[in-house]
Amino acid sequence: MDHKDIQRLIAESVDRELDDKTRAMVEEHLAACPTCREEYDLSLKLEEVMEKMDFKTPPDEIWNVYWTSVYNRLERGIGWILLSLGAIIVLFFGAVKMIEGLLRHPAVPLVLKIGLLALLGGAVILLVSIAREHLFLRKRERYKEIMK
Amino acid sequence: MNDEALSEREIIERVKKGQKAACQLLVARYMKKAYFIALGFVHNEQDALDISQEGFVKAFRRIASFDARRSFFPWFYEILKNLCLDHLRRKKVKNEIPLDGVRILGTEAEDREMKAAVRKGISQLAFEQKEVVLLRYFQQMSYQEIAEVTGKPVGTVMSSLFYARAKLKEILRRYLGFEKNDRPRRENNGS
Repeated sequence: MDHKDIQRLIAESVDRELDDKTRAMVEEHLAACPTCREEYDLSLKLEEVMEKMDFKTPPDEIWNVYWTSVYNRLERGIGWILLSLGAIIVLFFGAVKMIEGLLRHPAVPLVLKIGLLALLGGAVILLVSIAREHLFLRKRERYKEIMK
Repeated sequence: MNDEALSEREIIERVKKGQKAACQLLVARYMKKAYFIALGFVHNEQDALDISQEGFVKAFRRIASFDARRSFFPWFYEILKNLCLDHLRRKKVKNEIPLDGVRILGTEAEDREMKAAVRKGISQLAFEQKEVVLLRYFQQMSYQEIAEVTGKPVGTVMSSLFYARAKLKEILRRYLGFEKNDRPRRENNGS
């Protein structure tokens, strides 16, 4: 058994995952090898320190109002969805009526009508392209660039 | 039946039916865990609070697609982790993990120094290693639980933790009272 194997076993030993036979073998090696012994002691010390580490606990008031905040978010979310849906319907209806009126109006020059149709066509293509990218392409490997 | 004694599956079934009390019960069960996991990733108390609450909102909106026979937390963790990653994509996060004032070594100055070193150590880990360290040491999860929550095999979890510990040992060696190629300083001091 070389030092590399022992390093692995030290990690398992720190986690108390070793069976008695392997533990005895590791201890025998540690008794004869100062380098591995130091690594073992360092591992134990690291474990001791890390087990004592904890996050700052927020005050109780935070937990007391936590659910209320979640509920408010849910409620507001529904509000925003309805508001957005209503705005989209109203704006879409208004835009259709306005475009229809412009296209049918005899005083509006043909060039302007063609320009308006081109504008609409471009907007539709852009919207479809963005929606497709958002729905399909971004789902793949979204977080690949985040390493830390 | 007392609401507190309800099984997770029963709670989920009630949440699916839109029962507000069940939603509240589920939030109460997991809010602290959610907050501290988010805190480990984003390093800011207010952001962690916002993200963890947003996690529950997203979970409730998608609850219809959740299979109640499965455990809730791994599914919720995935949502929470993605929210944290979205946050990290948008914001440059400070490497200031807010650690508690637990006495580690003895004097206040030594503890401060050690905490700063631990913060530095954790912030230098690759994301997968950091995730395992946070779940292992700050959530006290077993390898099996970490594997379940992250959806990775136990062997991969063990391997990530092995490399994370190696990196932490390298960074913290001096603070732990060990100098490279020397016998432990702290032990020698005592003899």
